[in-house]
Amino acid sequence: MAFFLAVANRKGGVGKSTIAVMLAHAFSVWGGKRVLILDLDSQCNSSMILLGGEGWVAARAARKTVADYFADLFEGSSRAPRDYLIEGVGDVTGQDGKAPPLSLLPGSLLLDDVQGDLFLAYASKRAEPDMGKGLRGWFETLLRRFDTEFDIVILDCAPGLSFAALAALYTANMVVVPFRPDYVSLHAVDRVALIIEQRANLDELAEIPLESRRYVCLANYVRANPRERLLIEETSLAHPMLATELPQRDGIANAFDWFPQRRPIEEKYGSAIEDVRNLYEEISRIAGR
Amino acid sequence: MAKPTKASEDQRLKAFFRDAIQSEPGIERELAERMAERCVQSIDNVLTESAQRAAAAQSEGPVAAKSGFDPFAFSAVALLARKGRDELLSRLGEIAEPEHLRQLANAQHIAIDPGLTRADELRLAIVRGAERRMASRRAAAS
Repeated sequence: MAFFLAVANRKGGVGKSTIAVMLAHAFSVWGGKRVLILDLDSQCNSSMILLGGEGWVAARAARKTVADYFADLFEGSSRAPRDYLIEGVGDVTGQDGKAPPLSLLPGSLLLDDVQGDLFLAYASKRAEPDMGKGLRGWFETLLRRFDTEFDIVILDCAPGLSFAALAALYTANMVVVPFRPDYVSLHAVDRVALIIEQRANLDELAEIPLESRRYVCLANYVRANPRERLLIEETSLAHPMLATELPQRDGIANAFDWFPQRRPIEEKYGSAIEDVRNLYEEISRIAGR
Repeated sequence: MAKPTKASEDQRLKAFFRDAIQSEPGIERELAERMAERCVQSIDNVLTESAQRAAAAQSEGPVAAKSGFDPFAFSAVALLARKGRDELLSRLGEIAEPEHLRQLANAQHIAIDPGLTRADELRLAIVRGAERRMASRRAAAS
């Protein structure tokens, strides 16, 4: 059974895709795990990082994107889920010097449109009281189809609350919520936490002990700034927090240019390699993987 | 001549360390390469953190540096949430100077009436401001 790990926040620009890719590299290279990334964001950032521009265009031409996967299976296509994946993605080498076991279901610019079309098609065929819930459940089923072939499935969620993003949040065994230490992000973390735990407000959320929550927050782009420390502490009043924090560092910012030649993960992440290792080890411990 | 970039400077530094390490007998080139890479990364991390500390001190620190008072020593909101109103008031009671109380409120983005001058008034205003901040957060998440 795969462990489903979502990376989500309703706010954009908090580092969801970079963290999803970082974890995918770490689990596949250091952990030797069979990792799949599902790019559920129509910005397609993780696809660009893992395939490069040309690779992503080729994936679209081959109809190997998440939008194709959802649309085809809705139409009853017999194409196997595995056929939509691209294997051996990324530009790092595994411990053996070869490509690590990292696969990708590439993102699509059309994902939001496809979800709208599928909702209309779904609603026209059924008479359920809550069409949205029904369609979301169908998306959950599609996400779980990769359950047996991978050890870790990483769901890189869009900032908006699409059917696919909600399905990812409900499917995930654990959700990592990256945030920037600023006031707007504080509220964004509160809101996504309520959605993940399906609670109406912070008082209801507080009834769930921090150690029993399905999500954990990750401070990202952290600088050595006392004001940011207070905001991280304020955020932690209501949410579980990883001990690992990711600083604003060149090594992280520079790691996401796709290179045509594979290189060791240490070389790719440069000055940020210890940050990646700390994050991987902590998530790995929490996930029991 | 082209201006050196960070990448070219890193390469130059790496070559310097590699050559120095490899001059020790018995160290192979591959190991020297890895050790040099680690040295460059460590230097980069130290420089980044120093620059961030310096920037933070410049943007947040003049007040603390001048007066010896640290307006970030504790979080008023966190203390209120964890220990309650009395504990926050007690902690604020350790700050005697009205100017320092104003600095704390300002630094922690706690809104207080700018006309207040007495320390006891400022302490109560900070507690009320912290309560408002928590209430605002609860309201936004409902």
